[in-house]
Formats: sequence, structure tokens, C-alpha cells
Amino acid sequence: MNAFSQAVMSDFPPMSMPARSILYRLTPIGVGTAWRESLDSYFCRLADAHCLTPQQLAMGVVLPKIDSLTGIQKSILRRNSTWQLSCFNGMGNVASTWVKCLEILTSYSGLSGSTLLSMNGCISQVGLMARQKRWCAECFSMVNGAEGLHGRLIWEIQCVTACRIHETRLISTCGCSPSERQSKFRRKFLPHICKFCGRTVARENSCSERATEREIAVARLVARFLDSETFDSRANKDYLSKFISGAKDQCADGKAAWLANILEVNKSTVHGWMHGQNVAEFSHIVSIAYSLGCEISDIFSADLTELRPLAVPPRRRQKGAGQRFDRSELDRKLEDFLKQNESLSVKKVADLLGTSPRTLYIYSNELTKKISARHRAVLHERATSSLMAKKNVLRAEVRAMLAKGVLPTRRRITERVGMDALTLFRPQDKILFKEVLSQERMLQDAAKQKKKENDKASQNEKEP
Amino acid sequence: MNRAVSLSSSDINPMSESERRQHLLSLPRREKLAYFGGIRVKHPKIERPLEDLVMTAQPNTGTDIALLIGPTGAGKTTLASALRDRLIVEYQTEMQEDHSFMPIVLVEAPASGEQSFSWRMFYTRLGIQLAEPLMDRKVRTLLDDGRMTVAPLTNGSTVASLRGAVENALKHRKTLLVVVDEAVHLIRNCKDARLSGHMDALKSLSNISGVTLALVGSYDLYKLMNLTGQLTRRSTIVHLQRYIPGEAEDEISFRKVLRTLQKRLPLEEIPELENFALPLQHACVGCVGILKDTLSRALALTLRNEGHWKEEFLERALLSEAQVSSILSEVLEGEHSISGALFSVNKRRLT
Repeated sequence: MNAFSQAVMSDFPPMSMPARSILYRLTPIGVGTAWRESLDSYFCRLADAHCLTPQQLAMGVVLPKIDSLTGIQKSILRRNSTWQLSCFNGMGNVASTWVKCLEILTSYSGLSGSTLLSMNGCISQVGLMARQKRWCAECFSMVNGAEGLHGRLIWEIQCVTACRIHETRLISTCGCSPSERQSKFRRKFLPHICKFCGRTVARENSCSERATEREIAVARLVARFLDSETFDSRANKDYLSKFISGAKDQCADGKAAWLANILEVNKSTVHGWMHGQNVAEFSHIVSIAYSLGCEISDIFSADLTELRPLAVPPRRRQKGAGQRFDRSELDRKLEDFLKQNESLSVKKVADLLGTSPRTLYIYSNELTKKISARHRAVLHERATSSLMAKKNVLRAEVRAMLAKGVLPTRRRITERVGMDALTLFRPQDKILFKEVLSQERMLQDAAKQKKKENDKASQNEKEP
Repeated sequence: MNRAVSLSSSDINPMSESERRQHLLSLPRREKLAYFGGIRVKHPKIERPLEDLVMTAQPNTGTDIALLIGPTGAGKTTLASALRDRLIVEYQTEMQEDHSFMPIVLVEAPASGEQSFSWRMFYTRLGIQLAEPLMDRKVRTLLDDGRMTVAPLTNGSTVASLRGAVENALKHRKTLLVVVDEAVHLIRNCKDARLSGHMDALKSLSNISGVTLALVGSYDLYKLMNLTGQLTRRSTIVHLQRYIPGEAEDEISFRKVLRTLQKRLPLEEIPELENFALPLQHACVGCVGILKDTLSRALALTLRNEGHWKEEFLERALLSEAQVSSILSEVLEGEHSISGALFSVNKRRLT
């Protein structure tokens, strides 16, 4: 049989390419290790690979998918800046929906490892994620080539404040001055780039502070937990009651108060953990592991074999117990504050007197009200003068642009003046801008009209 | 890697031959014509170029650009489409494992009507073929004084940002071969200096993305080979030949192609065309594509005549003598110009 007789007569249509994933199948860096990449870092790298900004990728590709998946039209889930929220790498609805959506779009399953979703239901969301972006500049400088640079999940956890390798505190600013900041429309979002100035945040010798022993120990505990298999496997919900009950019997002769003292929490909190009434915060879990000398994964697996409790710290004195004021003395001090030129808030005054604003209102109501009223008046005056100054700058810029024949826009003005001199992106700024613009246009129109009339009048005079 | 996967017509269409024929005959006239127009015939002259192109698509073969050259109507576009099917089947396992993997991309070089070649349109089309989202919103990253910023997006994507997006897409989709059909549009209205620029752009795209580019077009493409020595070294010519009248083997093969096409005519009474094999080979300049077009025209006339075949329909469907002579002179000139520069020919120098 020759080659030709084997030939297939293809009377079927040409094969079509099987459906491909909309986004590239980018693999997160450091999967399954303590260096695992956070979801927001992954999202920024994904957007960069597609030559889009994260906002564009979110708006154009991800949010329509979220709409189709959840049917939700207005929610925190579907903002084009959701990826900048601290809960994005957490364990709530935002993280789970975005993980699901990105897994469909990239066809990469396993993105939940870049978040804390595996701990959902086992710990409280309160105080879990850091509100600010933080990093270790020296860790970035250790990576060769831009491809391995990534933001780490461990840096997103609030209770981790230090780098376990370099034993320095995590930082949240590259040290750029306000004048170096660029327009928000030109910002590049990548894990190793400062979003304000656009420079790399990697430094071989960063000037960040040295971390305390406890901070380093906590960072190491959390890193070991992220490195362990326990992190990726879902823990039982009653792990804490088992662990605390066992630890109480083993280390504290069955006394919850001893454990509460060593963990620096209330006795009722420990009671709540033991009986499944409270869900512990992650910082408490870390604190338990630190105080009892075990691993975090031991707590999640209720393993009591390797407990080495620290010495019991001295019991803290309860704040405010038996605190009383001499009213006349308090009034005298408050009058002194009123006589000062500098206006202070009630909170500040209370801090200086070592008490709370509520106490001041109770013991010396009239004087506290006066302090409050004076401070409000000062704040109001300051705000008014600031608004006037802003209006003047804005008016000058609008006038200059109109004179040049350029259409004044908020973006153009901000780029010209600089973000720090003039912020125009809040809703109230929009109203202010419109007001100034309309006033200036009216003035300009009036001037033109007047000029026209003058020209006409002079022309009439010239004519016989 | 599973490379042994192959599909036949029976795998895709489980109907028996007679059932399929019955179904075809019941179709309306327009669909019958569409069916015949969509038929692809595998023939000996298409096999070797196909193998050569599959070989050049493999990574690290030292070929950046392959020129698929052939006479008009020889089946170059059909070959490109067969090549795509072949690579899809060959990399089926990898495509199932990695849903973003795209081994081959087919794109037609645009003729936008502008004086020079529109790279913007070309990159946009390529991006769309690569399933790249938001091609009109691509941004370019600028590095100025150690500061990384995003170039402001004004009126859609710039050519530079489109180019960056396409490079990234080819890299991340792990594409092996980009087939550019109608590549002669690249060289139209182009002086040598500008042509070198175009070719440099393609060469650098191939270098950066690690992809082989297959440019499909007529003999005019050959002049790209002589632009620079480096380009010549990194390029390959694959020739899709016609069936030359007067050569015994070619005549037999052409007759078989004719017989195959004849069997597939969606008519109650299948006409006997083998008697006209030689005149048809002359009238079609030995090109299978021209033969199929001719038969399609004859089929259209027959279907208008309520399916009754007449010899005069075939005569009416033929190209005019002027057209044939024009095509033939172009083909002969082209064949003469590329002799000696062909891939997998002229290798006897080693022995």
C-alpha cells in the first residue's frame, strides 16, 4: 500500500483548537513552602504578564466572571481594587470567590495555597491580615532575576512583624519622599516595586530596625507552620478545645487561670476556647504556641506531646481599678489646658492626664465640653483655611490652563501640581473642582463678552 | 509524550460511507457546495512539505523563519490548516494537561489598504488568535531613571505595547509555530530597507519568544531570503510543488486526486471525469486547489440544473486561457528562481 492510497479523505471540517484558558497558567512561586506567594502578588504578576494593569485585568476579565459565578452585582467582591484589600489573601468570601474565579480563568488549581483559606472556620478573621503592605527589603535582594520576585503570604499576616532570616522588622515604605510620588494613573503594581515612586524596594543593607526575640520567634513559628503539611490540610473545628483542655491538665494542674495568665488573656476567654464558644484569633494561637513552646501545627492537630511552657510572668495589675480623682485638682488642670494657646482634643488631654475622655466628661463635664468646643472651632478654622488655599491653587491652575486653551481636568492639574500639593480624587474634590471650573468659565466668558463689546464700541466710534 | 495519537474520518464521524452519502444528497444546494468546498485531499505533494514544517516547528532546530512557497492554488492554506491539525493531534496530551498551551497559531497578514504594512493590525490579529484578552487596553512599562512606570493609555494600545503583549503571549502559551498566511502583504510596496526592517521585526519576535515563524505565500516571498546573510542562515524554504504535466508519476497522482474528488461530488449520478485528467491537469497548471475550485464551479452549475451533470459545465468552469498562461508564466519563473535553495533538496553534497 503506497503513501497515497493510505491518504485520508477528510470530508470533515478542519479541527478546531480545544478551548484554551483565558489567562496564562502562571504557577505561584514557593508553593507549599514558607516562602509561598500571596494571592495579590500572583494577581499583579499575572496582570503584568498580560501587559495590563491589575485594575484593567480585574475590570475587564475577572469581574465579569465573578458576576457570572455569583450573580452578585454590587459587593466588595467586585471592585477593581478588591485585590488591594487586606482580606484578599485571607480566608473569607472575597478570597474564596477570587481564588475560584482565577482558578477557572488560569486553569491552575491550587491557588488557595496562596491564601489562608485552609484555616477558614478554625480561627477568627479579626486582626488576621495586615492592613498595610509589608516586606523585607533584604529578602527581595536575595532573589536572582526579576522572575523569582514575589510578595510572600507570611508578610500579610498581622502578627508576623519580622523577617526570620534577617531578623529585622518588616517595612511598609521604601523611604521615598512625598515629592517623588507619581500620579496614580502611572503606578506600576509589582511585588518588588514601590507603588508610590516606582523604584525597586530590594535593598542589600536595609536600615530597618532589629526585631525583638519574640518577634523573630513568632516569625519562625509562622514560617514553620506555612512550611508544614498541616497548613494545606483543613483542621478540625474542635482542635482548640482539645488542645487547651489537655494543656491545662498537663501544665497547669487543671487551672484555667494559670493558662490565662501565661497567655495574657482573660480567664473567660480561655473558658470560651475550651468549650468551643469562642474562635481564637491567629495571634492567640501563635501566642499559645510561643508560650507553651510547641509548634502551631501541634495546636491544629491537638498534639500535646512536646509542650515546654515558659515561666509564669507576673500577673498584670488591672487598669483603672480603684482609680479616683480629686475634682478640684482635675478642674485646675483642665483650666490650665484651656489657658494654653495650643488647642488639644479631649482624647489628648485625657491621655496626658492618664485617664479616659469618658472619665473627664463624668468628673468635670463643663470644662471638658469647653475643651471639646474650642478644639472643634480650631479644627473648623483649619479646614476652612485649607479649603481656601486649595481653592486658590486650583483656581490659579484652572485659569492658567484656560488661558493656554487646554481643557482643565482633575488629572491634568494633579499631574502638574503634584499629588501632595493638591489631592483631587475624593468625591468632595470633584464638587469643588466643578465649582471652581464653572466660576472661572463664567469669568472668562464675561471677559470675552466685555472685550467684544469694547471692540464693537471702538469700531462704531471709528466709523463716520 | 504521546505522539502516536491519530484521527481518521471514521473516528470523528461514526456514520458509514453510504449513510454519509445519503445524508449529503439530502442536503440543500448551498450546503452541498459548502461541503465540497471544505473537502481537503491529502496527496503526495503535500506530505513532504508537511513533514518539513512539522520538523521546523520543533524547538532548537536552528530555524527562525520557514517560508512555505508554492504556486497559487497549490493548496498552501490547506497545508497550513493540515499542519495545525497535525500539531493539535501531536500535542493532545500536553494540551489536556496545560489548558493555556497553544502549539500553533494561524494568522493572516493583513492588507489594510494603508501604504505600508500595518503592524498594529498584525499584532492585534495575532493576539486575538492567541486568545489574549483586552488587546485594546495593553499598557507598556517604562523604565526611567530606575523608576518603573506605566505609559499612559490614551487612544488604545500602542504598537510597542501590542508587540510586548504578543511576545509575552507566545512565551506563556509556549507556542511552537506561528503560521502567517498571505505573507506577501509584508513585502508589498516595500523598498529593501523597509523590508529588512520588517524581517528584523519578525526575526526578533522569533528570537524573544522562541517560536518558529512560517510565512506562507507565493514565489515573491523568495526575495526575503536574500536580504541578509544572517536571515538566510536562520531561514528555510519549503516548496509546495504542483503536479507537472508530462511527468508520468505526477500524472498518475493527479489522476488519483481527480478520482478522489470525483467520488466526493454530492450528486446522484457521479460523472466520469478520469477521461479529462490530462486536459484538466494542463488547465489547472497541475495545482490541486485550482482543480477543486474548477470542480466546485462545475458542481454549482450542475446543481442549478437540478443535479444533471453535463460536460459543458466542466468546460465553462475552467479558467480562461489568458488566466492559465499568466499563472503558468508566474509559476515557471518562480520555480526557476528558487531551484537550488530548497529545504531537504540538494543534500547530495555530503555523499
